[in-house]
Parts: sequence; structure tokens; C-alpha cells
Amino acid sequence: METNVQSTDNHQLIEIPMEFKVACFISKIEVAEALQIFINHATFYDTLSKEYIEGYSEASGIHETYVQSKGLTPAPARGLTGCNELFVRSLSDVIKLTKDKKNTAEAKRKKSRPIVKTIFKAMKRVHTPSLTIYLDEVATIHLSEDFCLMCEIQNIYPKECLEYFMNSISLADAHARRDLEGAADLPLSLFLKIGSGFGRDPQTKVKLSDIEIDFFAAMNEKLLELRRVRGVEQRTSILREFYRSHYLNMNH
Amino acid sequence: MKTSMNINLPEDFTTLCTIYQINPETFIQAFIEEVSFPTFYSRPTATDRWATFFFLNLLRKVDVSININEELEDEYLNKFNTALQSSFDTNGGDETAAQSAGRRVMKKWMKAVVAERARYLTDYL
Repeated sequence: METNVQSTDNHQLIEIPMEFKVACFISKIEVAEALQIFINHATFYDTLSKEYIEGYSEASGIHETYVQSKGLTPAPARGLTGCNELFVRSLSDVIKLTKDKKNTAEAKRKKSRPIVKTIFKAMKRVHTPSLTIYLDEVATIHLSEDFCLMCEIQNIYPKECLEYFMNSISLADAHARRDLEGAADLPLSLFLKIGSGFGRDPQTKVKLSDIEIDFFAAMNEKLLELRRVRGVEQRTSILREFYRSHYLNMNH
Repeated sequence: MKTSMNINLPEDFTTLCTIYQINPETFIQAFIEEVSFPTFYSRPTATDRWATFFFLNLLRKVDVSININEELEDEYLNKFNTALQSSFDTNGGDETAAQSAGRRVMKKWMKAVVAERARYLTDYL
């Protein structure tokens, strides 16, 4: 049987999949920044709003998508057992906010923050004891109150949700499907937006080395050449190897 | 096969043609001579691949792709791949033989597409 201490440690240790590292590297974004953008755009308000808001709607649906993917049946939130009445009242207040047609989504989201803060203070942080997660010796990510609340509502650890997000990302698969089939799911849609600059500082200037410029030229050619490969899996496997070898070549 | 065309010559293109003294007709002729799946896919390191890259890029644009019969594309590109590979296996890397084998499949693909379009039109008569 695991002790509480071991359990806490395990839930803090995030495993970053190789394909996510590769996707971030090719998209010229740090792993921590990509995860932080996901966290910052996952809000309690947007899980309840029916309005589509770019980036927020995708990020805010990922907790639930993860729970569904695990096939778990909804259970009472353990962290909220002591403040059920407050939670129900807050839920109702945020739902009212979502229906307000006079204000913008941004203004309504801002108004939801104090409501979320009140529940955050009252709830037991069963799954979210720490607000800081260390990815390695230097990189950290910070959990928002919204993100923690959503974890407690779903009875999941941030680690699970973040790893689900990362494991859903494969640039090779996304690029392989582009001409062939299917819309991207929530995590991938969000990641592709982040890769195109969503949530990032617009002043950030991407610098490419000569090797990277050559890689992107070769990548564009490869994507065109692959038209003759008609199976998604085969295309994905070719691209996965191509992207991975670029990553390893640049990070050995 | 010859055809006459009525096309608009954009300013930047005519400027270049004037500077380098290239007749637009000469340019277009040279360009389209290099648009070829059999050549492109049998010579992966050749430098005459740009015209076919341009063609492939055009195919990725949605407004063009909606008119493509993907079932036939799947079927004939798979046949095309097999034809090229078996030609290379049999003829020891002979590019010309592989191109001929690929060209035969492309012709069959074209006939199938034309037949399918004719069937589509006659179904609505």
C-alpha cells in the first residue's frame, strides 16, 4: 500500500512524452510555456458557457474529455464535501453570468474569478495540494485556482490532466491527417493554436538557425511528397521518425 | 497535344521575363514539362522537382481538393507506388523504366476519373 507521502510525490512528478517534446520543439515553444497556456485558459466559467471562445473553449473542455476517455462515472467531488452548499450557489452564480448578454465573455470571466476564489479557499485541496509543479530543476508551471477547482470537481490530479493533454499531441499524426480525414480533438486543436501563437507574447520573436530553416524547407517538401502515401498510420510513422530525428539531432 | 490559352500575365512575372529576356511562353512550356508524378517520385533527389511541388501544393488547397475523387486517388496512387517499386526491383534502379511503369498507371487513373465523371453526368440525364 502506498503511503500518503509517496502518493503526493508521484502525483507531482509529470512525465513529458517524447512526442510532446518534439511537437513543442518544432513549434518553437518551451514545454512549460505550452502547459502554462493550457492551464491559464482552462476556466470554470468557460466549462459552463455555451459560447465558443477561441482557446478557452478547447482548454476548458479537456478535464471532462479526460474523465470521459477513462470511462469513469461521475462521483461526488471529495474536495468539495465540506462546502457543497457554497459550491452549488457559486455554480448557479456562474451559470447566471454565462447567460448575461450585456457583457463580453472576457468581462464575465473576470467576474467569475472572485466566485472561484471563494470556493477555492473553502474546498479541501485533495488532488491539488501544491500550486507549483516542477517539470525539471528549472522549469515550473503554476496551477490557477480555476484549474485546481476543475481538478477537484472531477476528482483528478493535475498530473493526470496535463499528461492526458500532452499524450494527445502528435504533430506527425496531425500533419498526416491534414489531407486525409478527421477534425482535431480538443487537446490537439488547442496545441495547434498555441503553435500558431495563441496565448503567447506577440512580441516574442522566433529565431531559426540555418539547420532549422533547412528542416522547415525539408518538412514542407516531405508533407507534399507524402500525398502518394494513402494510409494515415504509414504517413504518421514516416513523419514521426522525420520529426524525432530532427529533435534528436538538435538536442544531442 | 497543343492548346492555346488566354491568361493574365501579372506585373511581377512580366517584369522578370523582361529583365531576363524570357518569353512567357518559353517559361510556361519549361515549367509544365517538369510537372510529372512519374518523374518526381522516381527521382527523389533531382533538382527538377519544383514544378511538381507547386502542383502538389495546389492540391492541398481546399477549393481544389473538393473536386478530387479520393477513392480513385487512393486506389491508383497505391497502384502507382507498387508499379514504381516493382520496376525498380526488376530493373535495378532504372529510372526511365520506373517512369514508364508509373506513367501507365497514371493513364489508367485518368481513364477511370473520366469514366467516373461521365457516369456522374449521365446519371442525372
